[in-house]
Amino acid sequence: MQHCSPEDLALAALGEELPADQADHLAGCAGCTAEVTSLRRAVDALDTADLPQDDGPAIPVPDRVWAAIAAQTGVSTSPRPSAGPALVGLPSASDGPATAPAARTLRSLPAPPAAAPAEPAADPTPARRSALRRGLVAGAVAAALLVGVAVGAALTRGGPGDPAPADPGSAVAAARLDPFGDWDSTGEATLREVDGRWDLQVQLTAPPSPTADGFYEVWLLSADGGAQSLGALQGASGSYAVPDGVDLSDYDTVDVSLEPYDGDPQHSTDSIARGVLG
Amino acid sequence: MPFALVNPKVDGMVAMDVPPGPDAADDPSDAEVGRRFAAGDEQALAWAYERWGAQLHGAAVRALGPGPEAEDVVQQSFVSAWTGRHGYRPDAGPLPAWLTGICRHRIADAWARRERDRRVETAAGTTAAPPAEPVDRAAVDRVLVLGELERLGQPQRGIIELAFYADLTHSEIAERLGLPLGTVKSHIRRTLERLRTRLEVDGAALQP
Repeated sequence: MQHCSPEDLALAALGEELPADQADHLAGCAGCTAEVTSLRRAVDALDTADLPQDDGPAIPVPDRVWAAIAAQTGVSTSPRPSAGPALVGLPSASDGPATAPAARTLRSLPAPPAAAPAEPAADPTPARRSALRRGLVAGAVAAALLVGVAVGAALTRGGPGDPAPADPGSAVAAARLDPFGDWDSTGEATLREVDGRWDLQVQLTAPPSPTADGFYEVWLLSADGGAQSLGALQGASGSYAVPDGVDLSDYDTVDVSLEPYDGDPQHSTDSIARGVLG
Repeated sequence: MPFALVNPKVDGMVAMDVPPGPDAADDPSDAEVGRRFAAGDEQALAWAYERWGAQLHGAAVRALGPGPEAEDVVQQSFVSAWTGRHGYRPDAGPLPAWLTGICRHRIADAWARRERDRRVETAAGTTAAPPAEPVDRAAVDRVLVLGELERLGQPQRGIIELAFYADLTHSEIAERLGLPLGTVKSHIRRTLERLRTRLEVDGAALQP
């Protein structure tokens, strides 16, 4: 039986399926198998299957990264600014040593999709990785914890602190909205972290009555009289991005108010429902 | 009009125009962003960055620590993704998963560079070699392969990158590039043999 051609052996090294005859021969031929194995070394060098799966929280990206992407790709669009907790207490890129040389040639093509079944997370890290990762993991985990602790400290009110970083998209705080004044609106508000942004969802039990005199607005209030508008409430529920820079340990009260159409952006003081996040 | 809640303070049940709030009701779905991305819509790149940039950054920070290297990984991932957007097939999976795959390669590249830099420093005597450290052959191999790929001419480089990164078969590559099957197979063979030679010669030399 003739050996496999060198071209077929190269395809086998790439993981392609050979025609039945060649595949059968390869399975039974030590010489051809050894050749494939030696050619596989380069293919395996670019494999990323050994990298552990990462399911940790998002960390907001500095604006300069988009600027660099736009410069390199030539696109003229831009993302909306992110509103989320910055890395607290960590050195920024401008504090550290010179950045990696921009002249490094980038890959011109992307990696295959990660849709393939992931390696089981329980697999122990191969010993050959341990030297590289020993020093890295501690720093990275500490960074993630620092974000989580800053968030936890801001939102926890007297309850047991939770130092673990919040899962993206899950609730980190909630408020029961009670009727304010003569009104009878009730509901609840939930603060979530979504993709590095804070998102407040407001859900009233029933939509407040439509009125020709004004509209309903959602706010975050602080104990010393500050009021941060999040936007108008349409119907019974709404989802609002919390602007960057709003300190949630100060602005911890969710408020829904009736606002007249008078062009005055200030809080009318006519609240219909209110609750404290905790 | 039948309203469950009668507002005791305000009479009148006339429907009104509510000023639009900052809600995301008009934003496209993730699947739509994926389709538009593949089609080359620049706005889709901005949406992808908006939705998933921080997630990639998180993974890079956890792998490399915070700082310029992790930010570079994010930058390289999106640039790679955009220039190779024709390789993203929406029916094969969601865009964020594809972006994550690219990010993992960029992280591995960064690790490999660190390992190479560490070896260079050790050889130059500027860093003491850690005692009895296991040789990270995979990182060394990766650096060597990446370096050799950059020295390849075309169409060899394009062919092997489609095979390595886009997971295309040789027939798909031939179709994509408009080349004869035999030509593609021949290039693949000679490229893998060239890479093997580089690894066997220089890989051995780099090991202590």
